[in-house]
Amino acid sequence: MSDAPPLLEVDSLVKTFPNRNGGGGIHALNHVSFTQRRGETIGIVGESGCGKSTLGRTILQLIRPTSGDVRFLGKQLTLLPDEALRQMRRHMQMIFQDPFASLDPRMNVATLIAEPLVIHRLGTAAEQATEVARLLETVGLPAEAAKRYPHEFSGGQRQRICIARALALHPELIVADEPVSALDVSIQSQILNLLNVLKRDRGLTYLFISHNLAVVKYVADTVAVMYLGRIVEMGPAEQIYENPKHPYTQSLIAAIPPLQPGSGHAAPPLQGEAPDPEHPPTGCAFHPRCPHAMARCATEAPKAVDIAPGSGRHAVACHLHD
Amino acid sequence: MNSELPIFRVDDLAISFGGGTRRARVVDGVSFHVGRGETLGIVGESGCGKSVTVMSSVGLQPSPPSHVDGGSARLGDVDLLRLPPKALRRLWGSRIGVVFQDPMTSLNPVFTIGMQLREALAAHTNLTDAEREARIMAMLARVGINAPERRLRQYPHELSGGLRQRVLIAMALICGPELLIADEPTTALDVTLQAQILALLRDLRDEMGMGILFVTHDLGVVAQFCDRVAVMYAGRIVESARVDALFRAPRHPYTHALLASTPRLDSDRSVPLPTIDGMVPPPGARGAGCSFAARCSRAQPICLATAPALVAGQDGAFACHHPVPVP
Repeated sequence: MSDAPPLLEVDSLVKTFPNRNGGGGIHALNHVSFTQRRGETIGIVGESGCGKSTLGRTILQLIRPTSGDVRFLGKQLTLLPDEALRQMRRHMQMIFQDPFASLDPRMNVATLIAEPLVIHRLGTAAEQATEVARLLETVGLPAEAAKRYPHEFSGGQRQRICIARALALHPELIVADEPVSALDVSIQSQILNLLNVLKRDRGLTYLFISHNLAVVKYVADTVAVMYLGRIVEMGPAEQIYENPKHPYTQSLIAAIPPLQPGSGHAAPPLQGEAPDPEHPPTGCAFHPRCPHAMARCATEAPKAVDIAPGSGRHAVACHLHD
Repeated sequence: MNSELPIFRVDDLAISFGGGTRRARVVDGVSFHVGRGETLGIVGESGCGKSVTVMSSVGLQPSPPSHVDGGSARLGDVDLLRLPPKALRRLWGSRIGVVFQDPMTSLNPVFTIGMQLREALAAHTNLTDAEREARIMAMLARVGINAPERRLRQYPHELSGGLRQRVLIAMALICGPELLIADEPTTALDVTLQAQILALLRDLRDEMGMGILFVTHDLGVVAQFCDRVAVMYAGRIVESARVDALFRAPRHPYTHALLASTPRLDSDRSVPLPTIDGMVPPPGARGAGCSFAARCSRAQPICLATAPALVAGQDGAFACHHPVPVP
């Protein structure tokens, strides 16, 4: 591991959304902190409403945080004025879940892929056309796709177009928010392979947001598990999957139906549902559903502690481990 | 499990969509059966015809645009495809229960949960008000809803996704149907909630003995929840088997490729995931040969010329000229 500064540092990020009465009631992100090395793929997992998408968007400043810092390529993004932020966006791009909603149906593929280059005034029209052709090849689309329109493509091909668009500016960081969740499995594997090849060839850094733990296992070096706006466990992927420490991580992994019939679920399913973020439980937010909850879990919120001393790489926020 | 006496049996079902020159066959030659207390999974990717097959077989697929071109669907000794609409409606909710994917759009937003459950029950039974309330309370408690009196006065938007799906299950089962149609019932739910709902459905099936037709794209759910499975591709069943046999030794190359391309917790990251190149041929562009041939790594000239028939083997049936060998 080198001593190079991290590509991305997220420090105590908070995002509060107003509730129905206009008050600042809903803590979508509650003091989220982590760092990401260049070339590291971090998988963010958790169930609906845990704040994983808000985290991705807040890092890119598509949503401005309530408080906390995001340092990227040495710049404090939260302090940047809009114009400076626009310049920084060259280096950080996003891929969304729904390739049907994220492409303008009236633009052809060449225009769609060249748009980032046009906006940032990079190259002449001829250079842009050459770049579009190269990008199409990179993402595995035929050259003649350039003249066609989004509706002529399948979901998997559209996601390839979105990836080409995201790559156009040679970004350092790509935030991929459920990039394969809308795709059938046979197509999903094509896109996952493509993302892995691009990472290898271009040294990309991914923040990969997904509810699918098997997909994240396949792409991530490091995994962060979120519950109600907080990271409850974060560590190297193999440790998270083979030796999960937080009871929520354990339940999430146990709930995945394995592809072997008869192997059954090891434990009874986790009871209850994620709490209403407007009225979060006291103490540890997971305690009402936790099979190991103790008295102090209801009163005292656990702090993230390093459980792999010295490495600083596997942290858990749970009273069982502090 | 009484698969020798199926409660629901579909034979040679054929469905087309559209009219005139645009008319295209979307489901062809589909046959399956469900026994008492048995769960049959119908699995396949988007557009393979799994939902159309199941919904048409119980008369729930709107026509037009769909047309039943042939086949039969027998619940006991009644052919649902030849039943007048009024008689069909009497069966929905009484002998046939349905749970859909999206609990928000399946409940009427302007009526309370109680009004909707009472309506479902009143349509098919002659219970007194008191008997009806007792049955509703018992059913809500059975599907794991706490404080049912309070829930009955609430509207769908006041309930969480998990509670709404429990209400739908209660509504589908309150008349004690012989057959439950479950169309992607857990697809919109988080994985921990999915595990809860599947456990509930399994318990209710064992208690009440209904057969379940379970439509899903999720092979993990099939492995854990179904007894038998039919894999659909481009409007046909390409393989059917008991789940243990199918997952141990898939014979159709499509089934094999589908299983191989699904990321698992024990997948090796350093190896690219197997993929299935190309796309499903659209209805109307399905030629004389096997619909999977163009994407199949085992395809031979005969596969492009003649469509293979579904042939019964030792552990199930598959439609392939060059099946994957048993390992």
